[in-house]
Amino acid sequence: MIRNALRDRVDSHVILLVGLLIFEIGVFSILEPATYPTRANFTSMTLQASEIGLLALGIVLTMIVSGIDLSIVATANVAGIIAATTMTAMDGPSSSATATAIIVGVVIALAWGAAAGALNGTLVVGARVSPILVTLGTLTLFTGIGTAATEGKVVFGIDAFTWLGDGKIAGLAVPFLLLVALAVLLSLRLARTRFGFEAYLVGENARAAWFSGISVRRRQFAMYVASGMLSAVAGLVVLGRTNAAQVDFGQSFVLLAVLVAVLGGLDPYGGRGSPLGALLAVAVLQAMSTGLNQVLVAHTGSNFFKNFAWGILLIVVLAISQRSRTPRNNRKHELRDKTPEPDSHNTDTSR
Amino acid sequence: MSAVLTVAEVSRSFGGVRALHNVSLAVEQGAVHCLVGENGSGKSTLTKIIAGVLSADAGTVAMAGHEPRSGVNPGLAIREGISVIYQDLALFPNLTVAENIAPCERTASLTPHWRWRSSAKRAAAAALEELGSAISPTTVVERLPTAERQLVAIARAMTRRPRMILMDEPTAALTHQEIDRLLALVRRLRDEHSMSFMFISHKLNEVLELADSVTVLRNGVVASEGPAADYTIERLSNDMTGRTISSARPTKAPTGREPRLTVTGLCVKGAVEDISFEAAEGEVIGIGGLLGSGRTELALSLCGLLKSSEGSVEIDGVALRPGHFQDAIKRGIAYVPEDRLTEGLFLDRSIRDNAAAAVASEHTSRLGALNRSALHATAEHWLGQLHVKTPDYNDAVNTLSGGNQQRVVLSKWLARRPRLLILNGPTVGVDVGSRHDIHETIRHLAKDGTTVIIASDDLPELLAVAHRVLVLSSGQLRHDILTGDLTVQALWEAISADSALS
Repeated sequence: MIRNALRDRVDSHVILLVGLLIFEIGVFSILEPATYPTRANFTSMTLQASEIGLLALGIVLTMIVSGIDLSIVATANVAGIIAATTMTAMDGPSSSATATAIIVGVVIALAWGAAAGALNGTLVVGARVSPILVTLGTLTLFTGIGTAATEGKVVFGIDAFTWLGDGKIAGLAVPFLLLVALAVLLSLRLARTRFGFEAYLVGENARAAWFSGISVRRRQFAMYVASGMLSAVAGLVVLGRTNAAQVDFGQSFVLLAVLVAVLGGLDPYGGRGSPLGALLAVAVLQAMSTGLNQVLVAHTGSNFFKNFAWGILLIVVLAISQRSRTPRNNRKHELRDKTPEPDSHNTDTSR
Repeated sequence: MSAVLTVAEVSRSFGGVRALHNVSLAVEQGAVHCLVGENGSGKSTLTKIIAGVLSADAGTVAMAGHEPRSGVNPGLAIREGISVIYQDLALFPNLTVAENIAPCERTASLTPHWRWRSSAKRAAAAALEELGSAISPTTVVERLPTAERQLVAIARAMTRRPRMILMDEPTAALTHQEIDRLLALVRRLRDEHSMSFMFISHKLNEVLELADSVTVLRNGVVASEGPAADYTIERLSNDMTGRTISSARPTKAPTGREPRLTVTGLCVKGAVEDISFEAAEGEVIGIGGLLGSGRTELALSLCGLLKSSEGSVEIDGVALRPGHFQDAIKRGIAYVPEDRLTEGLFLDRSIRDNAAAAVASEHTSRLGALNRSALHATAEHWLGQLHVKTPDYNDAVNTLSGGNQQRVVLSKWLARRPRLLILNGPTVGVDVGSRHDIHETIRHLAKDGTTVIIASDDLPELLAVAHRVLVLSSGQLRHDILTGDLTVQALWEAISADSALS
């Protein structure tokens, strides 16, 4: 049983991440006993990790079907802007008006996320453009929409909505609970349903999946829509935390979310990994980032080395995890290099 | 004659699994030596050790005039005069013919870098001309058909002026005519340049036609060796498998059954013209024809992978939507594609998941929840039926040999219990034993009432399983022959007869 678990690369990767997390918390608790192992610190870490985590979930879903969604941050910001504008416009003196404003704002923001994802999905699946190019394009498009709507200015939300950003349930930050709940739900959906089973097959080999009678396009499309909606949730969380939305918020989060996904055991070639892996990866990064920050600020007065150390962590984890999967990737490259036979048999995967 | 390559008592294990044990062989100067064996018999391991890509645990490989070696050193093997043409050819599909051929030429000369392009073109043209080929050096390789890519690979190998060329299953992807041309080229190089060849193939008739001497590997040991004249197809397959493989014939054709498949006036633009036929329950129909005869296109249009422009395909009296593969699947058609690696398998997934891939919908509740244990049970049932040999169904399917992989692909489809099974080259690159078992499975399915259509280049295969063979040429149905007492020779004549006209 243990042998089986260890042999499975995903599980060994999870063990690696859990080990790293415990190690980090241990080391930083010893180095900064006064500030690191405190309830306040943990709450603040979970809060900070939530936004990246939600965005990373979108990357995870699209990567499983060997795609990617780089438009996540732009989608999130526009969702925040839409929600803030709607809520401000509809808010009234009565609590029922406020409640309606919040509900309508959230629904419209989620609908925007779904529409943005559907656009990505349509272009990737229907027009068969490379996912990187499509979502880089829509990243620019969505940023443009947001800029046009706000003239680049900050849009403020309503106070009642800030509960989503800094509310607590049983001492835990609401965004963090939201992230964990969504990660668990998505993991279950992927592990326990036909949809999930087939989605992994699509990511592994879309052509073979199609030849097996699986609706490849539907699986891929659904992942982009889901990614858009998760981005919208992230946008709402940012709006709740800062009570403001802005078109150029968190630009660097895109690459960070991609890194979180890969660190969490996702394979950019598709067919591997799970949302829970990404959740762990976010925790590892956040624990490290906060810890380094505290240590460096306490001893050198600056956090200059933070990104440096962060980069090293990423490279180390990737190097360790890639070692166990090198043969697999080589094989994939071999297959990719093999050009298709030039005859009519060369039917397209997704036609 | 003297030996150009001597392999002496080579052994090699992989993590406790013995791939080669005390294997010795010698390739004579100016001779073709064929190495045959089932998938997993150690052919590839031996090839790699000879090429210096893999080390031997014991024993040595020696080229005449050089020190015996056993370690990893591909560069040394090349300098000693061994050129290996791997099955996938290892060409760069995005580069031109000249660019593919020239790197070797370049390493052999001191041409200044800035004159590389024109000198590369000249070198490539010269190398191709030597082979009697008219491929333009500026063509991008991915635009070439497989047979021409192979010539490019051979031309590249030739620029190194090798003493011996090792070819790993060079004919697997070629048609009859292309094979003939390749074999003629090998003979010419052998006779005119006194070059030696080591030739690995699954096609036993080819082996007998070409080889001067033969080594048969079975489970990593030499099962037999000797001059090719001492061998027959029966002896080769018996030595390879260690069991007697009879040349089986299909079971009796069913009579008085309802037609399952009715094809009326089917046309595919530019490929198939006005084809009509019926197939009854339990009938196995072969589709034969040269490449370009419309054989593959007919098979593809039957299951909606190719859109027909006219005519209809009916299953049990109900017409299929043309060009709609998913509809065909829902109606009980299964299509086993030709290229199992890219179209049939999920290489890194488990054997079990591969066999389960097409039946997830049958084990899903109305809410979408997947019943994994039931799904696994179904998959394992069919894997068992097809005798997929493996210690653990959790292993990735890429750990299996070609024959077993093909059984997995078949399991996947049989799990759907298809009413019409369409097979396209079901035993390409599959060893003799697996091939025999796959044929047995097809006969078995037919007996239980499944209709089977099998498009194949492999004439003995058509005769072994099909009740009737439809012979296509230029997209038209030329013959509809009962296989009863048909010989390979007669079938080949029927297939190639019209091609001269077209």
